[in-house]
Amino acid sequence: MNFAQVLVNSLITASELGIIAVGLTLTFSLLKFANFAHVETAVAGAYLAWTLNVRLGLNFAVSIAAAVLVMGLAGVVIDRLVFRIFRNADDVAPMIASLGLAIAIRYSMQAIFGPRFLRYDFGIAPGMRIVGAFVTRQQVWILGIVLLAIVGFHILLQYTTIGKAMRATSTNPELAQASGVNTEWVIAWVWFLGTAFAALGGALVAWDTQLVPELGFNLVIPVFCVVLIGGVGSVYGALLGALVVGLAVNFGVAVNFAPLANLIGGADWVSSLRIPADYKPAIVYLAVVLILLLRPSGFMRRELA
Amino acid sequence: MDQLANFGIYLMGITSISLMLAISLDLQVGNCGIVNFGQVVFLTVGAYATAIALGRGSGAVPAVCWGVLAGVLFGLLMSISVRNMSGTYWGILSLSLAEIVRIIALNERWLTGGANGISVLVTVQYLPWIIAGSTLAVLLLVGLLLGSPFGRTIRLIREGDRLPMALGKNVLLLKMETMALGGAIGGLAGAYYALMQRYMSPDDAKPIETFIIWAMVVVGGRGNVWGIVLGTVLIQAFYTGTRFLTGLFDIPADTLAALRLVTIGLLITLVTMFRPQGLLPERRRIYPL
Amino acid sequence: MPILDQPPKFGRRSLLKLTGAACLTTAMPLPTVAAAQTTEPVKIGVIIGLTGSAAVAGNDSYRAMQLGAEEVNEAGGVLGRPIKLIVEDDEGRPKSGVEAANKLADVDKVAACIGAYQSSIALPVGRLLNEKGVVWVTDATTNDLKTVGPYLFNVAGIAEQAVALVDFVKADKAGAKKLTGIFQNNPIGQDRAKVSEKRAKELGLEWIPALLYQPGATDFRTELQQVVNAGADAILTDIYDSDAPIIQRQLVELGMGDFSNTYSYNPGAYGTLEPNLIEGIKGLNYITGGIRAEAFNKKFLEKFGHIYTDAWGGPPFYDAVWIVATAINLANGLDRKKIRDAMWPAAYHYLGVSGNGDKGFNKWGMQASDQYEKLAYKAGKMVPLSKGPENIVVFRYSDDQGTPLSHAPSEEQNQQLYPGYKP
Repeated sequence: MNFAQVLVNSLITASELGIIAVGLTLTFSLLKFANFAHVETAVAGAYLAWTLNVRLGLNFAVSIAAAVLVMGLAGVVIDRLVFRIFRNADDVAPMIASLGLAIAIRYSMQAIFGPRFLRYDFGIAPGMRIVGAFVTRQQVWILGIVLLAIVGFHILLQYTTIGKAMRATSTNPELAQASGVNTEWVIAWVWFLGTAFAALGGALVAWDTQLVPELGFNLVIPVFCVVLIGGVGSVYGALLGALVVGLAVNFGVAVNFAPLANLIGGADWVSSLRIPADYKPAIVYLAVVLILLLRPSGFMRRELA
Repeated sequence: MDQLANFGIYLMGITSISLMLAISLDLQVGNCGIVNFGQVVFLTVGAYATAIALGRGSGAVPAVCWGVLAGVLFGLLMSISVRNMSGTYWGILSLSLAEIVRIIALNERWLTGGANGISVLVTVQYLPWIIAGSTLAVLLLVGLLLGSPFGRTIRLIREGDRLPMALGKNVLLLKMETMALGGAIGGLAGAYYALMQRYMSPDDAKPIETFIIWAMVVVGGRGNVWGIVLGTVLIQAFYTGTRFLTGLFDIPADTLAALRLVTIGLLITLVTMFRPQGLLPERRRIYPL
Repeated sequence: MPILDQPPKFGRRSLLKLTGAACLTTAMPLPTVAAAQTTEPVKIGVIIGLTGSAAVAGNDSYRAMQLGAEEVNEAGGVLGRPIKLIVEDDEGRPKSGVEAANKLADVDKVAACIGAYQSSIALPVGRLLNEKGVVWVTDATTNDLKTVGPYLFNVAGIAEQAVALVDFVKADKAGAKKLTGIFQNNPIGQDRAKVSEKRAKELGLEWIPALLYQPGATDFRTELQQVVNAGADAILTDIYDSDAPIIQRQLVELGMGDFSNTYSYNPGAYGTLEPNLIEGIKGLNYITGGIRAEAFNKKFLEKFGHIYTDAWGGPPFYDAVWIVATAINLANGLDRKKIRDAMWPAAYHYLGVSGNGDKGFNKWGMQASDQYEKLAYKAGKMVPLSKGPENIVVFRYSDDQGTPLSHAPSEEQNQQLYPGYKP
């Protein structure tokens, strides 16, 4: 096992899942329902960035920035059009509404862009060698951008008025409202930020891999797992969850468990005992089951911190 | 005309299977407040148990019993992990369990035939009618049960664990009973599914199937048996009815197919937006003090 | 079967009425207007994944069928009537596929059905259509297809027959001792892994467990490294659809871009990204060469603006349309059983654009032989490995499986082949 390489792979997985999960945990904690359309807005953002970058030939950074901004606004519009109605409903109705919306967004993408894979305007080349691991330029960028986004988000949440208002509303909406916080305004901000983060994450995943309409289908459940492992509403929990999932799926496949098995003392000496790659998708679910059975509210159950 | 009637009978059978799954889900989520995002797992274990039993030479009736038993056992297994876990957390946990079962079915070829699935070679006469009859029986049974003290108690649990506990009810046991019953109904649906499709594969067990059942329950109206019936028929009609619409438009087939699913998605969203409690909401009795 | 000679006619108005009713009543029995006009098109049902996980190949397959139907109609159609394809999306869900099959068989009353790129849909649909007695032509390749019944036909060799690649590797790479594979974790992939392993062991080669990857995932890095570094002398692959470009990209990025020991069951699908990055991949492509295939490829490109990405997702379905049309003509009517029996002679005498043209069915209705072309990526292009006839690999079992029939097996034979089959 190439330890450095598996670590790099884990970090990439974690940062891509993490950035999408942060947006989800944000809306989840404030609006109290599971938004299944969140990951599809990530894919929509990635397609928008592709349109700007490849179709209109804009600079890549400009395309992503514009897509993130537009999707953020689209998030606010979606809230006004669809989810505003559910403010005082329970959590099940908006969840199913978001599910219908998710299906609609996904297949709109296919209707517009077709089922074929798309890529941003970049060449493919072998990665650089860093301490024995191959890392591509875009992966370095992705890690940097994610780090930057998280730090920026931390500052926003901790030190700005809107950040404080968000935290207050998330902890106790009635009290926040009574203290003069305009909760509708806060909710609009949360939708903007959450969807913008999703779009950023979607664009980064598509940059690192490729763009297909089914992209969201394969991301949505892992992203939810990450959010719940971390604890709903905890931004840092979501990042921790992403790290746990990233490490678990990659090391789970890479590690040879034979020494461990021999240590425990099975009857037969084995030289190779690995989780076959066909069970790789199960690792994330197994992690969720184990973690939630031990900690029924995830790692960090706190409201927006 | 005979053939058209056949299509109607097929739809009756397949809708009845969905209805059973929806009733089972409503029992858990609409009445007991257990948010099960892994509902398809009952269909999975029920169908596989039936198909495997039939493959080993069992008769149709015992095979269906195996399917029901598998559903019950899995319901119990899942309920052990419910404990004090709240809403969405348990939802994702149950979804994860369902996915683990699907991945096992995909990879353990010796048991399930792997990705190739299991074919069912047994043909049951009048199967859609039997399924519809069973569904009616299940509907009646659940209706009676919900009117009984058991039904009232589990609805109490839905509103929170504390009150029933204070009344001396064993909440965990009641949740286990609900899940076991839900599992039995789901397992029965799975058994019938295997007989009806004459095939079961991991592709039948994907999370999307759970979400469709959820849409049926929420669109119809949680906690109201008639709502569930309406919701199931409506969602099935969305899926089947839109097939007949596609002939009207002159646009490329791939775009049209995608637009068909967009329409289904939007319809689900719109119905929930305008009727958040479902088309036929639960009638809550209010007792004046 | 007089009903079949009078297909129902839906006017626009009745269809509108009907869809309104369908939304309300789960599409119960439909009003039919009998019309015995002889110019009424003959309907052929199509069940294919226009959305869902196999949508790329599914859409190309449907385009190929449209091309076939157009040509049939230009040539005068069947029974003096044009043919019309009625397409239903299976969404990649077996349940949806079976629903579509029920609709096509009972509501549209099609003469035959073609489709299913995915085995998990081809199998249950095949069982249903066998019960209903409707010809079902698929290019799914799982071995189980041969157990379904006499109404099921396969227009691309089934996985069992595709062991030729192992033989090719042994001949091409002298001294190769250990083999492994990368396959999709789906019916075809699991069959490929099983069959390759079996053949490798027959040839005295060591087999390292293959990687079965999750289709549609975005990150294959760690498991790719596992399998590439497992010490095999040659890697057998079958990677296609949207997975091909992403796997290829991650191999290149991880410094594993040396493809000289990679052999593919489907090298054409690898070229979807940048052919110059995959220099050295060799493989057996399902043949789409020859003068007819060139004409087909040219037409496809002209009409749709791109070439199909996958040798399986297109040409075999074009052939299927022609075979079905020929069979209907031979049957001289729309009796479904007569059409079924005419499928054997139709395929026996038809020269197709897929395979090497030989589309003959064995007694199970499976294509009796498999023909491959040895291809390699050289200087950014997929080219034949050599020019001579040795470049074509024909795989044919020496027993009944390899014998194409010019006439349908008798009902007694069918009863022997499929326990439980009732004529």
